[in-house]
Amino acid sequence: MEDLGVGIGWRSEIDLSVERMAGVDFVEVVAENLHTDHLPESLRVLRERGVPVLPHAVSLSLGGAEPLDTQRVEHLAAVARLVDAPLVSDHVCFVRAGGLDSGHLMPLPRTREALDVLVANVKTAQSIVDTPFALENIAALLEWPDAELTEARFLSELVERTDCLLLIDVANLYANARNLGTDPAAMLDELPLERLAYVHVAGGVEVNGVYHDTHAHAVPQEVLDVLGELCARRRPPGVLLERDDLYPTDAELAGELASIRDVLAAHA
Amino acid sequence: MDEPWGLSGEQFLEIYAAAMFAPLMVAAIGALVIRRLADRAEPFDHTNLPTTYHLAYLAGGCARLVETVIAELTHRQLLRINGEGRLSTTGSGTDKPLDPLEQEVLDTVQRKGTPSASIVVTALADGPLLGLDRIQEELLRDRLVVPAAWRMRVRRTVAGLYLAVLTIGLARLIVGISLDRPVGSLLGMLFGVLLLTGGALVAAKGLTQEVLPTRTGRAVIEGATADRPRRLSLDADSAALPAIAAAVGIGGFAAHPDVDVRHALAPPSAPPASSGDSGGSSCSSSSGSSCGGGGSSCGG
Repeated sequence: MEDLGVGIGWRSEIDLSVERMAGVDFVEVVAENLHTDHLPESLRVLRERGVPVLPHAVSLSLGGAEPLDTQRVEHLAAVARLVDAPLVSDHVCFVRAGGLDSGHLMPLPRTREALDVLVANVKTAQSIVDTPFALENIAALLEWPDAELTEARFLSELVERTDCLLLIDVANLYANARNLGTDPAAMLDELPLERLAYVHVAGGVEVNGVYHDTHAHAVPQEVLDVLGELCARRRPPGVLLERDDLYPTDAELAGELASIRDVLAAHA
Repeated sequence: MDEPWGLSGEQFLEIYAAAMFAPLMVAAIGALVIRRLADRAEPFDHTNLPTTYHLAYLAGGCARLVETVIAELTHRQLLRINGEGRLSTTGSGTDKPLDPLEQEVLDTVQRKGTPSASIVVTALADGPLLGLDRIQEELLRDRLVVPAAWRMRVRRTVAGLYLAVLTIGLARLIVGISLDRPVGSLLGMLFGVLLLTGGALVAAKGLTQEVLPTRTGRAVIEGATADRPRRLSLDADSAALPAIAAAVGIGGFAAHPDVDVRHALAPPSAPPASSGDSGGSSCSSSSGSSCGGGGSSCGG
């Protein structure tokens, strides 16, 4: 996997800020927010500068039991071609079932049967998309009963069977540790980090004892600590800051990018 | 035969013809007097203005004032502008608004979501702006603007005179019709009164602008214009940056020295065709997040 550096999620609300911010090595775009026939001006400028743009999908519902919506995958593929993306990604989750859209990334039951469904859908998606595919672990507020595999084993087998890459969200590892009692370090020990594409970092907030991975608050030190844990095992090809709402000043965003760089430097 | 109002039709028309032009004369003389008063020059350096907002209001009234507040707040990162010219509050940061005007602009942006800058300008420029009274008073104190009361007095006098002329003419018309007298000439003159009303409005046009700078006020604007930066590079010295508000105060968004921000605030011509995710079935102008939907927790 090529070295991406440190990046930030491109959002239209902060497009000018991202375009002008120093030290942005790559950006990620929500694929569903882009047209397939033209790029927003600031993305065009970034591409002209040679900044990699990575499409990130949120709606493929790859773990869903229903047939894969290939039109959504084709849209992702078209966006990837438009930005000449080195890779694309989505989540290990489902977002639709029974004709309803949850509006959330829902966790999968960690069973062999669910893994088979996920693998089949990922392979179908890979056959449509021309670029490498990365899959991201999500933050869950619940776990389905009767799990047959740990999350790390589930992801490892997914990687083995589909040859996909991993997009590890350390904020999600932290959220799951807070809400479900999982152990991020143990999970990182089990994951095939040699298949790591890049890493997500984001902020959140605790409400009534539950940690919410909001992408709308500052990145807590604990999330950076999990990033440090990961870096101690393997230097990630890239780390991306996700911010989706309540955008702070450019200086604060730049400060969060600097904090990420500090963690990377500490483990260089 | 008794003549209505003791005047024959011919006599009335002669007097009425003179009366028709009286308000026009008043408008012209009023405008002239105000211009003369406004042309009294007194030394005043633009750097002595209390704030850049005074300069903005002097140069372009309320709309320019709001534009300048937006530019200032954007520079101080209390507001963010995106490539489509949409504003949003940053919500954090250590710099806080200094006066009621700035707070009002921030509140308006927050209330309207992510409005375009032009929507904020339109929304605020027509309403009572907090803190505007103080700016107006201080500009008057320094004799930089012609008092609005003078201009209002002339406009009201002209309007009152024309109302009186029209009323008298209509009354005479009714009397004439009731006495079965010929009223064709009077009808023509009433039509002429309407035309002259338009003429008076043109004569008083200089009095209707929102802010009328005095000669001193105009010199202040010219002085500030000579000093403003034309262009700033992205890595401009921070010492030069406060001049941004001055540039916008004089020339509006189109004069913003930062090219990227200027294009976002005041697109050069047609809206950019490739400005991104607005419209379309799969797109949203308030970009979707990487969370995949609503709710308080993202998970993605």
